[in-house]
Amino acid sequence: MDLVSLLLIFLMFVGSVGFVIQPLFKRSVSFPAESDELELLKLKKRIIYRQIKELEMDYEIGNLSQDDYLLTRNELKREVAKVIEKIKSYSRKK
Amino acid sequence: MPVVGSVALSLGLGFSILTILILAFYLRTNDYRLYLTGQRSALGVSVLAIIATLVLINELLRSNFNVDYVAHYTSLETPWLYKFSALWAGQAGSLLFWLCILAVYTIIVIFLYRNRHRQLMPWILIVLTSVQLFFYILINFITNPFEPTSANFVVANGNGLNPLLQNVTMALHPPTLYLGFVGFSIPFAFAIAALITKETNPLWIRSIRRWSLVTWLFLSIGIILGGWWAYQELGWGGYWAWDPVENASFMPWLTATAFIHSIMIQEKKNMLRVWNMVLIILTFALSVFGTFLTRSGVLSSVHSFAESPLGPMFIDFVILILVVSTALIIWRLPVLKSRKRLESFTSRESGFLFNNVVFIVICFAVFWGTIFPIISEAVRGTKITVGPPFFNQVNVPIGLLLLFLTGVGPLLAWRRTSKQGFIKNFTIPIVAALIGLIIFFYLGFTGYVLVSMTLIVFVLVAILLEFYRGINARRRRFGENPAQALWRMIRKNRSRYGGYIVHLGIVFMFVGFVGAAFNQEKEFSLKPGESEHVGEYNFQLKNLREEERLNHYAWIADLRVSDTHGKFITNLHPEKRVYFFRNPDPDRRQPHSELDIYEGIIRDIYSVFTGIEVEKNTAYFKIMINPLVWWVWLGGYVLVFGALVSLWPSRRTI
Repeated sequence: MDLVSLLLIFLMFVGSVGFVIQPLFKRSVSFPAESDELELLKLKKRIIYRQIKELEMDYEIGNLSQDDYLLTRNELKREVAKVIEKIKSYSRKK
Repeated sequence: MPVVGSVALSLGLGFSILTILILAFYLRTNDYRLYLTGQRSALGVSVLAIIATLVLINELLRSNFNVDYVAHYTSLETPWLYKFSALWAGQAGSLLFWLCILAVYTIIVIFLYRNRHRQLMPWILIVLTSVQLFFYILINFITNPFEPTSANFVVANGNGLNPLLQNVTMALHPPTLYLGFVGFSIPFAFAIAALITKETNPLWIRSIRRWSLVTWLFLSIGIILGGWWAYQELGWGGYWAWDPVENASFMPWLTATAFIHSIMIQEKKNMLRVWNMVLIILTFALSVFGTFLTRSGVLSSVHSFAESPLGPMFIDFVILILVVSTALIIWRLPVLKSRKRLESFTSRESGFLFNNVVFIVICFAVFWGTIFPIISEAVRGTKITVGPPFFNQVNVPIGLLLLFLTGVGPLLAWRRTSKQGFIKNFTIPIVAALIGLIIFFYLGFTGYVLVSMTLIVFVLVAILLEFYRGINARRRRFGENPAQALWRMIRKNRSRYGGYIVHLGIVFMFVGFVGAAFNQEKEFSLKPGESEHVGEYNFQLKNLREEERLNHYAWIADLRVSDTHGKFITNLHPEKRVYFFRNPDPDRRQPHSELDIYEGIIRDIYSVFTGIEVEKNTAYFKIMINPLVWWVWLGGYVLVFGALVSLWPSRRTI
């Protein structure tokens, strides 16, 4: 085995071990993420908004009757209102 | 230097075990420092796999024949591109390449979701590292690419790469296929993590939807490139032969296609949760199974499969994936079951569900046809070959049903389609298809060709109608000109219209498939100056030339192609080559036919230089007239473009 290979193996081993165990020497830390629950509510809101947009598109291009469009749109609006209310109450709690 | 690669593989194996243990310990203690340690350890496992791959690439480019793998798959004459592509030419290298791609994907996952999916991430990393561990075990103990050359003499030159693999398309085909195969590990890891943690919210679905689409795109490109390579290189005039290697990539593509349709229903309606889990798991299991089929030697013989522990280990791994996943699904069934039901049979949800069933039926037929020869050889000792007639007989009618559903889907509304809506949306496509049916019937088409052409018209009109209505709606509402309306409509609804463009690509491909029914073929010999007719074309051998090149010797035929009236069309130059022609052992010299194809929208003229009798100055040819093949490749381009439109991030990505 040549010297360069030996040096590379040494660096690889020491580097890997040092990199992996470094967090153990930190003081107590916690997960920095924004709450998954709030993220989930925001995502739900965006999905429903997108569904409303697609519904409008379907209605405009004639894929939906007016009755179906209005019925579904109102249902989606009610759903999104509930989600927005939950987001607000979550923000108030924080 | 190879020793650095070997040590990296050994360290990677050790670190992958360590990663799983640390993350398991974190799940017990909830000490976030342990999570960070586990995360870094997973990064280390991945970086070590990449280091090992880079070392092997270095050895291949340097032609270090002290490494057995390098001596087996390259020679001094091998061009550098093919020295590089030799990385995935053999078993050991391709498994390392699998591991390397998974390592890159794992690093991306760690960076993308370092602050998200708090519950899921430890399990995702455990699953991904477990898959890496499996490949580390294979590479370290069964098929190590850094194994030294076993010869007791100095190897002056290597065997060289198989001439069939010395093709640019073939250099690109395996990496794209592997990017697809391996990519499904990520949705699988998310699914397993979600099952374990009882996570049913749509957050993780959002994360894997894009992953699935990206990996599906890679798999699609890989399959198309494979077909292209077969067409340009193998010389039998086709692009798809239902070969087990082709089927190995087609099966996960089918389940993945079903998944990227049904995942939309889960995202929008929170339905089909169990079904989607099944599809993700099946797709990943089929990806591993595909690697097993192509890399275990089982296709050539059950006995060669049994000689090495590699095949049994792959089978055990696939069984483990299926057993653990099924147990998890059963365990979480009460959580997964959706309370929502399909509201109507005539809804887009129903259409998607129906197309899912069709995809699975095709997948099962392909699976059965692929493994039947293996089972027959294992049980009865004789291999019963299942050829294209079986696959075509079963899959053509189901494929046509799928084509029909491709047209029906966009015409159905979400939730329910009213009777008036149904009549309004279906009238024009049905009328157009009926007109098409009459025209095609009078043109003399019958059977599957007639049905296919009629359905192609139906789907094409259905898709174009969607575009037309969308453009009109925007013009009415915003007063835009048609080009502006089209551009903005697609930009604002990328997922939807990207999907329609993909469907358009599929329709074009079907046009190409139909062309196969009219293929013509003729084999003949010519001396310089002589000519022969094939169909409406005349082939005159103008000249026979010889050339010695870097890694082969070539006889080149100059064929003049003209129509029946003598009008010049093109010159074709197919070649007969002999690779390793300087090898003193005649058995090591490899003959190879390099084709020449004149491609066109209507038909391809496909020429193969099958043989030569030098002393008689006679060349042997196989000429094929292949109508509409060009449409298959056009369909491929359109499909890729559509998928890119769907994937293109909007300013506010959902």
